Amino acid sequence: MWVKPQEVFLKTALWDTDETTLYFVLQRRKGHGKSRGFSSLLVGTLDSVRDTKPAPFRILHQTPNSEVYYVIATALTEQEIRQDWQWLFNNVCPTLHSFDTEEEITEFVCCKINSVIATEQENLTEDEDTITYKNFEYEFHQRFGMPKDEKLVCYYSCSYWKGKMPRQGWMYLSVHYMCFYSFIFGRKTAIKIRWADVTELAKTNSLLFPDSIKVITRDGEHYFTLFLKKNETFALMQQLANIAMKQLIDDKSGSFNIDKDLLTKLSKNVPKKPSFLKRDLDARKQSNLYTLRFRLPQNEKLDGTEECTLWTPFNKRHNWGRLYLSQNFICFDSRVRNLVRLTIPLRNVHQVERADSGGTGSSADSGSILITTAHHTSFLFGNISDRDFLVHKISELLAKLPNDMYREKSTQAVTRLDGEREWMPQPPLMTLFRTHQTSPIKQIQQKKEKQWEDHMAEVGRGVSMYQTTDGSELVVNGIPELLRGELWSVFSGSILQKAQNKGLYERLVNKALSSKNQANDEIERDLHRSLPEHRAFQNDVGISALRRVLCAYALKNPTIGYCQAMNIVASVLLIYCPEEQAFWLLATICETLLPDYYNTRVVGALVDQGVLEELTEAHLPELHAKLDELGMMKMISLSWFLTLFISVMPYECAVNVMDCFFYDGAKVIFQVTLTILDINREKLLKCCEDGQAMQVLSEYLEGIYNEEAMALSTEPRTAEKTINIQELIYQSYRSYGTSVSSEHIEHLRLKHRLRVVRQLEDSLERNTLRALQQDRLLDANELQELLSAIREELLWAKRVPCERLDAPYEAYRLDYTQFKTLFTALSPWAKGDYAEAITARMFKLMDNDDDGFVSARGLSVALGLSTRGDAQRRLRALYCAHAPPLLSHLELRPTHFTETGEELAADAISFFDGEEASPTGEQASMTSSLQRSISEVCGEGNLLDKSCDSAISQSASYSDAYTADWVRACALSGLPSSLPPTPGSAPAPAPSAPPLPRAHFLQLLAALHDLTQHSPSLYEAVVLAGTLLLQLGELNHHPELNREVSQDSLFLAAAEKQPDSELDPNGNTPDESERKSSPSKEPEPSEGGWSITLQQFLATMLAQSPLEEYFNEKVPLLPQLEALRQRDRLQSVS
Amino acid sequence: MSSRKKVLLKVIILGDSGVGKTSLMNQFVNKKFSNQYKATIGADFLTKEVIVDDRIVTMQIWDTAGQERFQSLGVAFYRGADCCVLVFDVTAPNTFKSLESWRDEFLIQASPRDPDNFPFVILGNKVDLDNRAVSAKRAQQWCQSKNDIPYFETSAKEAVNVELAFQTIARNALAQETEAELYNEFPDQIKLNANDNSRNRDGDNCAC
Repeated sequence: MWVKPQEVFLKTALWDTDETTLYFVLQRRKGHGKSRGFSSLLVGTLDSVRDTKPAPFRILHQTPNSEVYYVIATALTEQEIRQDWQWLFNNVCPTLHSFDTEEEITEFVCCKINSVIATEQENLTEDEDTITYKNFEYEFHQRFGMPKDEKLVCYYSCSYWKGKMPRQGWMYLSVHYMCFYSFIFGRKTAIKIRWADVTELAKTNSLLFPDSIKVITRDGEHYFTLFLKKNETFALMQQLANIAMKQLIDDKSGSFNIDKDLLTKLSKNVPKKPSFLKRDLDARKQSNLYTLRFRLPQNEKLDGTEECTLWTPFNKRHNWGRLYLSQNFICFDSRVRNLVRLTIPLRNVHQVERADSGGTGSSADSGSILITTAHHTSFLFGNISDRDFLVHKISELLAKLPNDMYREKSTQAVTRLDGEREWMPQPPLMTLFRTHQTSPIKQIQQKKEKQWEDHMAEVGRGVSMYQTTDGSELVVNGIPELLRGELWSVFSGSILQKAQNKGLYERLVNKALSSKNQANDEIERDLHRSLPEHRAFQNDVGISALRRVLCAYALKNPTIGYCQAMNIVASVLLIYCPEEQAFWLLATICETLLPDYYNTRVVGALVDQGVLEELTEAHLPELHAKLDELGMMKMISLSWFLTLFISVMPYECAVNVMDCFFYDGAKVIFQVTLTILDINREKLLKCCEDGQAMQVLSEYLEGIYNEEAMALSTEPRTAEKTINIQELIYQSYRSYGTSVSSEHIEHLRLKHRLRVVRQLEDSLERNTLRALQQDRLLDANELQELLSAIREELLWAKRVPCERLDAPYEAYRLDYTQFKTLFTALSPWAKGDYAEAITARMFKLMDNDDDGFVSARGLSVALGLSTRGDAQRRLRALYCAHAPPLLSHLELRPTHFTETGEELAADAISFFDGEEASPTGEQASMTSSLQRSISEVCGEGNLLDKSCDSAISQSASYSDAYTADWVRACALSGLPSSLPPTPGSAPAPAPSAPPLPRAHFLQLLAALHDLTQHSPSLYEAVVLAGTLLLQLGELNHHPELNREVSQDSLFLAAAEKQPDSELDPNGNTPDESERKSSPSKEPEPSEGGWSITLQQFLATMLAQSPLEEYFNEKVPLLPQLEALRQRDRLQSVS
Repeated sequence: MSSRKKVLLKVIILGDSGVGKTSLMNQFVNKKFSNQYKATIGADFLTKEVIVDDRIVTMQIWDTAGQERFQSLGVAFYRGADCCVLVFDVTAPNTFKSLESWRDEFLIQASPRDPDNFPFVILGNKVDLDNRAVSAKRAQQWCQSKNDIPYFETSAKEAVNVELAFQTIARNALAQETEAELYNEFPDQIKLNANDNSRNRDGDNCAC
């Protein structure tokens, strides 16, 4: 890369010269590449410690009589610098002779280089990373053998505690890894840790490791110290680890996308960060905080912020605070917490204008803008330092809004025309199922409604109402029942979701109700178990509405589907909100307020369990110790949190908690929980076992009452009254309102997510190991290593274990590439020329559902069979892998159109006759069929050529008779857990394998030949058995010919040598599982078809004792696994 | 020796969602059936005193959530269990098939001292319904194959066999308990002077 010519004096101090001409010198950095010796060691050390990383190659310009040198190009690789070098020769050198003086030459060279740079820069986009950063990234990839697409995020100078010695070096943080490298006088320290393996990150300050960052992984602890920017480093580490964890939770194929949008934003006052990605991550973090604070949809990206004032007309004040701008919203939050908060959706914005002096008095001397919405409400922002920029920015954002169609019309006349639909969304169920109220309750409700009406007259109504301190007081008092639906939607932000997704609910319902799936079944079972005490749910009206909401959500968000507890929450929402609103509230709870709570591993709830434990320990240490001793912490939180208290306290009380929850977020749940524990402290401390403590709490919770509620249940509450819900909420705000903040909760969640996900991963791994051991092929050690190899492979492929299905091992799904990598590295069957074909066929054999993925068990069985099974099982597996439905006729067709299956067969026959067949032709056809098998596996459908030859049609006819499942079952029969041991499940189809047609058999023979070619005796045995079998096949082919007795007796004699195989009159080797079914199930090979049966194959092969021996040999796997591990892992080498 | 002591037995009820765990527990403890239960989230429990072989025994019955995604979260509740009741719905074959995994999961998570002899009891519930799909024979066979687990066909709705089943549960749990006493390996598992834990307990002090 050309650089702006710069003078340097020392030509040789740190550099070795590779080439030199009259005017140019090409140099390489000492310590890089081939140079050796003490000085290069020194330079290496210097470079690894110093802040600037010089590129290892450079070109200098010189003139014979000058001491001054100019750097004109640098490069990371020799190839690159050679290119520049060549360019100089071609373009610059020829002209240099024409100059008179050396000064002129220098001037020309510098000018030329500068102009080259200038032209190049025009093509560069602004997101180019700095050169230093690039050098770092290059080194990062080199040193740690990272895949090309692994992005370095940032690097920091720091020390690593190796034993008691700190090693100075560099920490590299990338999207999936954190690495450390130091090189001090020949001693290298390199550490590579995957974020997904990190269990804990902490800042510590102990005597042993002063002021350090501690990183704990499953394998050990690491301490890093002497950071220049410790907090920044730590925050970034946390963020990256968290992204890794989120990927483990979500199974979103681990893709980390750089968000270009985010980068062009935040355009003002952003300090230049070394890496593009770091800026991206920073912006992402800002945006998350922003969406959290204003309850905006999560994909909202913060554009910029601006200090200013907001005029609040109701109290006639200018409030200082910060204005936030993003694609769809303008938001404002006061500097004084909770004083005033405002959200204006841009699509409501009607007009933005400069409000000039005069109108607003005190803000006259500084820029003000007036934003008017479609509802003719105006918002006045003042004291804006750069008003023009802001106005410009807002209008730019307005212009980018998706479509005018989505802008809210000032007239709200959206008429429903569709009378033909089968369902109508229900209004709030409480309006349909009224309960009798006493007049005092009515009066209370009316009084509250009046208060809210007055309040909203001041602060506005709907999305853009000013959220003020007065407002939050009213919320804490309890929202009047009639206004709940509306206010919950506004406070939670679900109203924004609803507005952005018009019509989605209806579409989802229509689609969901007509589909049949597990989620819908589970929902159906729970509909009557949601809020049975309310009349609305003793009636089809409520039940149907609940069904629609839950099924629609399960369809909208398949990663959650349906989780018990959602039914309970949704039913309460339906009482107070219109159906569609209830749906969007549920969505907001599941996705924003209680993230990951309801997913298939209930991760969020477990995370918050940890958060609660930590908060309890901090606020109620004595009680925490007690509850911990009783093992209680884990019991209470699940039901309390997942149902928002609805399942533990009367729902008419829980809704008051929900009022605050929607207004203030998840922190409310924690503060209420802490308060409940605190109130019951004395009683709990006296308990001596968990049941007793549970009793204390459930009695207390059931006794909570709400004297203002109208929507009472049909059954009167009988529990002894304990506390008024309003009082409980007050108390919770008084005691914990400020000490438990949303930011704090978010911070703790981050921390506990690491732990929870790691635990889940570990238990998944344990379960998988246990399941795999039941196959009794590989031993525990080997399985452990194999599984970590699989994990490694999946992580390299940036895929993570997915959700648990029928069995734990299903979570680890390998596609063909990954299977191939592991199988080839580990199995003795994948060593020869035929390795790929065998691998592909074993893959197909193990791919039970033909979906292109094999589970961890598939791989473990494939490996187990090829290394541990006895000869009969191994040969059977090979046979089955070549049997018709699996090895389809398509794969047998060679790619060369001149060749037919018969020709291939002929080739193979001559091959097995012992003649030296031309290896190239053989190889070619092998490769072609193998490519086909691979492409088949990878799901690229091959069109069947119409001109089928006989072998093909024959195998096609077998495909009808034998399903792939039977063949697979046959290959696996004998494994203790080959059939899932479900109690008394219907008998599975009898495992059986079809006879092999000629073409298939030849493939099998070729594979066997390949496996045995290393040993002459084995090779002979295969040839012998092969010949025998080919003759046998001919016999089957021409049954009308007189059976040669000699052949038959030869076969029988051969078979008898194998003691295991008792032969029945048909020459079948009975297999336990086959014995019962084979006579009826197994169709005789069609008349006239060339074929070999499994029994014939096994008997003949096993008759050859070298083969029997070979296939009985137990092959150790650990060495291969170890080798595989060495390939991947790089741990503290010194 | 300790035969006159009050004993607390912890019983865990497991099984798929909707097989009737909550109903069975309520039928046994409160002698009533209702179709107005909320789905159990986390866990719930009730206690009842029974007399087994002249001993007064307090059964603490823990009812758990059945949905699969909660299966691995049971560990908090399994601790110190004396007996595990596995319930399936005789009209739903899938719930029968899940018994194996519930049993395994329990043994793994509770890790009892002697997993092979840990007392389980299987209940095939909802025999009052007509659309039966799991035969008694099939269930019986499976129970026999698992070290002869006692099997009962129950109806929580019509109170069929519920009492009998829980008597057996108490007896088997107690046998386990007595054995533990004999070995005296884990004294903390034996609740000495355990107080009456039924619903009308008067919150008194405790000696532990």
